[in-house]
Amino acid sequence: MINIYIESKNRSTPEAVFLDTFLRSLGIDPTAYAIIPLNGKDNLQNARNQFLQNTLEEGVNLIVFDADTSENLGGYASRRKELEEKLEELGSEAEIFLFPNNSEDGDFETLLEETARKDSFSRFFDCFRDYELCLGEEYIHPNRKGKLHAYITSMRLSNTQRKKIGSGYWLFDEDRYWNLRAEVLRPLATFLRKYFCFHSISG
Amino acid sequence: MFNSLQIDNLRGVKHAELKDFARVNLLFGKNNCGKSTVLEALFLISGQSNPTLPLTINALRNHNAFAERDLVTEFYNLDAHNKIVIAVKGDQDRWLEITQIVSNSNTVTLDSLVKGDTAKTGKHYGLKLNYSIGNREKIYSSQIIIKEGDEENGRISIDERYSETIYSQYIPSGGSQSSMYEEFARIVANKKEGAVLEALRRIDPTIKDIQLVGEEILVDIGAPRRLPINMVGDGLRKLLRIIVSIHRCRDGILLIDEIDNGLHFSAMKVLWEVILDASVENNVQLFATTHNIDSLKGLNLTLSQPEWGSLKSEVCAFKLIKKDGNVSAIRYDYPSFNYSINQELEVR
Repeated sequence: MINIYIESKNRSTPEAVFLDTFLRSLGIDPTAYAIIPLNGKDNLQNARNQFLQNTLEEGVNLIVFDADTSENLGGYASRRKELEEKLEELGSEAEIFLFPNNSEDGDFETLLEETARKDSFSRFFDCFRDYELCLGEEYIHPNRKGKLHAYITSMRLSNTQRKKIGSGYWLFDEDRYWNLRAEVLRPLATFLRKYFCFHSISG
Repeated sequence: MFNSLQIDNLRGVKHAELKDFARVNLLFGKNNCGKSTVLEALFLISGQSNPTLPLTINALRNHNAFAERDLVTEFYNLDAHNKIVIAVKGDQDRWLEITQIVSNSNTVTLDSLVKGDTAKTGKHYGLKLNYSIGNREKIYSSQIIIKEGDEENGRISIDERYSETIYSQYIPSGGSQSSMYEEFARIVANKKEGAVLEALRRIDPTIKDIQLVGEEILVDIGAPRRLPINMVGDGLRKLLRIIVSIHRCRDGILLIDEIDNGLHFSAMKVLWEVILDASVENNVQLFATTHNIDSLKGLNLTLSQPEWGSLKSEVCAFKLIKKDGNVSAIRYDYPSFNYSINQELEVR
């Protein structure tokens, strides 16, 4: 089994659902992997047994976390170093990918924003930028999570679709709203494909 | 109490090591990962001088045959050249080695000559147990010898210099067939039957009382007459069996295979509350196997409540993974299985 550990609290988050949708879009058999939410990067040590168990069962552990930035005590290089040291301390084996592209600072939202259909919905993004400018310094911005949530909830969706949004189902499989073939997703695709080489991959 | 266990060449386990036992230890893992073998190893080492125990562990698996080939089933890969070694560390370090005995006597009986069956005549086989306490300066020895063709009458010898100090009991997955009368009588003598009744009522509130009548345990469920305990449901009998066994094993070891057999998942929390309470009170170390996640969830639920919080360090679970006969044991203490269950991580 390929275990993919993410920072999300549970499997009903956009991050978990996006990753699952993206893996399927690559033609990867969903029975070959498990997405495991850790509820924060600091819970890595609590998941030590899962890492060990999967290694003993000849599985592969993948950590897919945010690189973050120096503003939140992260950044690609320092976060990677921190995780590598933690893995060594725990005696756990895992490969690491850090959002957005495994080389720069940023996070899942950085990647997701670049995946959104700005070409088709430029008006939304222009207006949102103006809205944030209008808010001034009194409010938190840029609010990237808020922007992406507003993006998908601003669409004309069916009731069924809208009900699922709260469970992280942001219609990632709909090409109209998200471009899963975007260039920014190439590093993630390359990273994941390495570990699924024995499974059918159509992408 | 035992702190760690090492097994070599017992049944399907070529090698296994389990470390940092707690008072209550739950073993889980996939089918055929060695859970029951670990229990059997603990049973053998806790009664290491008793040469009939290797036969007993077969009987607990409902295998009641004593031919040479039946005894060989104890050895890894069915090869008696793989001598069995079991060692524990703890309050008392113990070491046990089991080897096969096979000898052909030169004596040929008239009876066998008459029958023309000389090839097997006089063949004896059995098991030799070498064991020690502490640093292995003194090795004791016991054996069981069976004459081929007369499997019902084994001859045993036990080292008289050795006296067993641990009492242990093994409850097999199908439940113990032995009567609970003596054990329950002991509880009544110690005026503890009220606690037993209270525990049973948490599973079935219709039970009004439980009494010893003659050599029978009878329960009052509101019917015109009291019912023998064997007539009530599996869950109640299972719980009673566990309670009386914990009391019987005071200062000793209780081994339970498939602890959740016969119990509805809603009873798991009660089960663990009863076990934790009774095992601490009676100073019993308990080892149990399960393949049911509800057991672990019930244990987690119990320990997450404030009144049981002080016992968190008294409990741990081991996930066993077997590969090529070698068993790896992943230890879960309370924080790690609590986290895993809350995060719905796969632990089975």
